[in-house]
Amino acid sequence: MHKGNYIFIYDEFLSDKKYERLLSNVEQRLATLDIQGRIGRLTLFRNPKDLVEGMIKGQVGSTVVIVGNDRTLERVMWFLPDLDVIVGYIPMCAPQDMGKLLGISQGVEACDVLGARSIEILDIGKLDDRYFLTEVCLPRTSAVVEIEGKYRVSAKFGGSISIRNLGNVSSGALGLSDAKDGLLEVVIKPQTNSKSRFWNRGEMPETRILMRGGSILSQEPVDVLADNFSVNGKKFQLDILKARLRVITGRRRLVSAGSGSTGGLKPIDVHGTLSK
Amino acid sequence: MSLFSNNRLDNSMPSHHEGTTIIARGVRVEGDFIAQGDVTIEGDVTGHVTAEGTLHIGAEAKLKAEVSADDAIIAGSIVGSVIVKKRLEIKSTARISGDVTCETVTVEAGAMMDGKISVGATATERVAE
Repeated sequence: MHKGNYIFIYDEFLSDKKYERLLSNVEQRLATLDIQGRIGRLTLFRNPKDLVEGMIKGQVGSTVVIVGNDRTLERVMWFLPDLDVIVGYIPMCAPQDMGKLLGISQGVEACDVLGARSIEILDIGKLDDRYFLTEVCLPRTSAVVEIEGKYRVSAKFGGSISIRNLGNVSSGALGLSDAKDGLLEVVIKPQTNSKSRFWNRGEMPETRILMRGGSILSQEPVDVLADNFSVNGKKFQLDILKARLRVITGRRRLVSAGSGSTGGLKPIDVHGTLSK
Repeated sequence: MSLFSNNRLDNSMPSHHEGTTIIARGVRVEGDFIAQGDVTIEGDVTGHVTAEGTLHIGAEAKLKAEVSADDAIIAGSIVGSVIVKKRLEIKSTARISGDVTCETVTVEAGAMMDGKISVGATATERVAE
């Protein structure tokens, strides 16, 4: 039986009465699975980095379990790759797209994923000095992506740019990239040229390019979202750190069903142990 | 088996990025565009294009570029030289203004070409040298 050092980081919103029952069920299930640990609570004025670092002090290889939703995970993702920890996630409510990409169901079912302790080592993206797990995105922009210093790609009449590590969570539809290939996937969706609206032939197709690194260049300051955290500027460096974060994932993690990530998503057994 | 006995560290999942690099309509590329694997271009490219696989240049693509690939299917417009190591297929909508070198070629009726065409193994070897 595995007994690791568990640390649970609860989001502030879980103190709301409407989550009382769900949280109680989760805690009961964790107790049944003999998963126990100290609990830290995020608050508005508490630095999450100080909280987590303070709790794992002197405990190498701790498992830090984030209990909340994608916003909670985003609040800690920017510093977790620097710590020698394994990351677990219990999504309690929407948004929980990161949970879906990691094969983790909501609430009590997530406890079983935690108990199974199937660990994957994922790449981590870097936007300047900030880590990101899912993607960097510019929803509407005329910015240019310079790829490995060799060439520049841009939408002729502007559009959205997404630079993905694990996948897309920003556009409403989930899109998955390979977070274990040491590459970032650049996805550009141009907007239609307003002058040629008469000839508009529906939705513009996506451009997809894999890269090891690059930069985003804009003539005007733009807002760039890294794991939904907004950064403003004209130039951003993009890098990928290979095999940087240990994450407990579900056995039926989503992967791309077709070539690249254009063929839709399907769940597969990434650990090769799922019973048929 | 106990639920807790699986403390696996699994980093053996194969990469699934065998997909094609796509430059879609409405996108512009400038510089030395190099891609491993297959490439589909439907947008605009200026500079150099190198594909270590099959290069598909769609009917709406506009290239002002030196192009090289292992195999190529061209249906769009190219201003610049084209070097294909193996098989080149030129579609009826293609417009090529520049020299073409390849090992084998098929040209559909209607394709427009303005330049020297060198076909055969010796031609591609000469270019490689």
